[in-house]
This record gives sequence, structure tokens and C-alpha cells, in this order.
Amino acid sequence: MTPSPVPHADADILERLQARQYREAFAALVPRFRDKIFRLCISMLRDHAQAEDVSQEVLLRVWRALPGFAGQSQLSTWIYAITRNACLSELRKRRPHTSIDLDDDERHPEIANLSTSDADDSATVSVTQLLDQLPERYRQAVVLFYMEDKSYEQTAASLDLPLGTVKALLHRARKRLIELTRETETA
Amino acid sequence: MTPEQQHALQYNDQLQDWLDGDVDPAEAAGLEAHLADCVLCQEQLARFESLDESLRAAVAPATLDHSFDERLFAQIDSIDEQQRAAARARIEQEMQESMLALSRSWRRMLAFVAPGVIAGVALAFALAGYFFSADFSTQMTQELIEGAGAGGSFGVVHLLLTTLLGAGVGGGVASWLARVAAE
Repeated sequence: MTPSPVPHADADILERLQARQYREAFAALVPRFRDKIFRLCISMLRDHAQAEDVSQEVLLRVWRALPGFAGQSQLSTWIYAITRNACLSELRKRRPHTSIDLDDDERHPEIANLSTSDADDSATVSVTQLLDQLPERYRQAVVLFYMEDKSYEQTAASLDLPLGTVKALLHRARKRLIELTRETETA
Repeated sequence: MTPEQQHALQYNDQLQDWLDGDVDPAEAAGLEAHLADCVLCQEQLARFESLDESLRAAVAPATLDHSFDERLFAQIDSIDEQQRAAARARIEQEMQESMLALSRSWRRMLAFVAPGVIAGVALAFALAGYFFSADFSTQMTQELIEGAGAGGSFGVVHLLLTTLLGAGVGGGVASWLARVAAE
């Protein structure tokens, strides 16, 4: 007797792909992954409009590559890998245009928008400004964790990191943020 | 390292796990009992809670609206239509190319085969006429009738033999021209 296969989270999509119903598979995939792709883009790019553009580009790439997806990896792993690559390409394109003289808020209007409530008080340093002082991996983990409504699993899947690593990054990031808050308060 | 720092090192991770709801009930009960008496941990937890609230407020869950889907599927439809149009154009081009190739092949065939066949037939008639009046064909016919030991009309056998000879040479010329045309 052969063991019954483990039910797969995206089994319905994989079935449609096997039946070469690419349009149907894609229509089922978009609502499931759209926002997760977008959040990963925001966490990496820090710009809402750009993240939206890149999300669309990612989904178009997924659509074009869907007939070639053989299921050798998890669908989510494959999609997040495409997303990370697209974001890295976008960051590489952006790098020559980024001026080091600009304030963080000028470079990242999304962050400026997020911190408007704190920005009214000139004496208070917003948490988003402090976030920007964190190492990139810490910042990405924190942003994604809170965007994903505090889901370790989703954060780990999006960043392609082990769960333990994500927890460690978050713990260190929070400790560092508290230290930074104290430093700015005493300064 | 001060005792306070050591204490923080021991409990910071647990406090964060507790705050994230990532501890089992037994662990949670132990930590809650410790929290009730430990001022250092109470202060640290307050800091973590405050940070947690700030981060929740600052990093709101981001979602895309329906217009994103509409734009995405419109683009996909446009890609599909472009692909279909490209496929149609490719098929039409291939059909035109094959029709052109066929017409070229037919023209070549007609240019060589038709004159070849006509020349072959004309040659066959000419040769048949020549053989019919030639002495060696009269002699061949005579020998054939005698060799076969059968009776028969000399005229009919002579005509058949010369016709066969003429048709054979004419047919050979025609098929050679057809092969040249096909190459």
C-alpha cells in the first residue's frame, strides 16, 4: 500500500498547471500571492509606487514562466525567489541615482508617509527613522513581520530564511531599536 | 557585564516570544510568574510593548486594490493577444512561403517536364519512323520471327518493335529531364 501524498497548500493550482489550464491557475494564484509579493517588495524597495510596479512585473514574469514551472520547488518559494530577484534588479538600477546627501524621508517617500504622525513632533524621532538605521536584514525582517501581521512563518518564507534565523533577527532588531530610542532620548 | 545586563540577556528573548505569542502555556506561566516579581523585566516588557505598538502603527499591513488586478489582467490579455497575433502572422507567413516554394517547384517542373515529355514523344515518333525504314530493323524483325518459330505478320511485328524502340528512347529522355527538374 502506497502512502497517501501530503496535501499541498497550493495543490489546486498545481492540478490546474498539470492540466495546462494556465489561465485558471494564474487566476487562482494572483489573489493568494499578490499582497505577499507586494509586502516583500515594500520591505526591500521602501517605496509604495515602485513596489506596486515591481509586483506587477513579478506577476507578469510568473505568468510567462508558469508553463515551465515543473513543481520541483514549492510554488511560494519559486514566486518569492522571482520577487527577490526583481527587487534586487530594481535596487541595482536605482543605486546610481541615489544621492547620499538626501534625507531618508526624501529618498523614501513611503517612509515619510508612514511616519507623518510622529513627524509633527520635531523632538520625537519616528520609529521608521530608527528602522532605517538598522542593518538591512534586520529592517527587512521587522518590516515584513509587522506587515504580515506578525507571522514568523510567512516572514521566513518570503525572505527564504529559516524560522529560527527570522526570530533571531527580530529579537536583535527590537533590542537595537530600544537602544537607539534610548540614545536619541539622551542625545 | 552588570547583573542587570545578564538578567536582560536571560529574559529578553523570552519576553519577546511571549509578546509575540510564541511560547507554550507552561513556559508562559513560568514567565508570567517571574514578571509578577521582577521590576527589571516589567520595565523591559513595557519597552517592548511600546516598540511593538509603534511598529504596528508604522508598518501597517499593505494590500493592493482591485484596480491592480484589473491592470494586471489587462496586460496579460494584451500579451495573449500579441502572442496570438504573432502566431497568426507566423502561420500566414509559413503558408505563403510554402505556397511560393510549391509554385516555384511547379514552375520548374513544368519548364522542364512538359518540354521533356513533348520532346520525348516527338523523338519517339521520329525514331520509330527511322527504325521502321532502316535495314537493320527489317533484319531484326525477320530474325525475331524465325527465332520464335512462330508465324505472324511481318508488318505488325516490325511496327511493334520499332514503336517500342522509339518509345523507350523518348521515355528515357523525358524521365532524365524530369529528374533534372526535381533536383
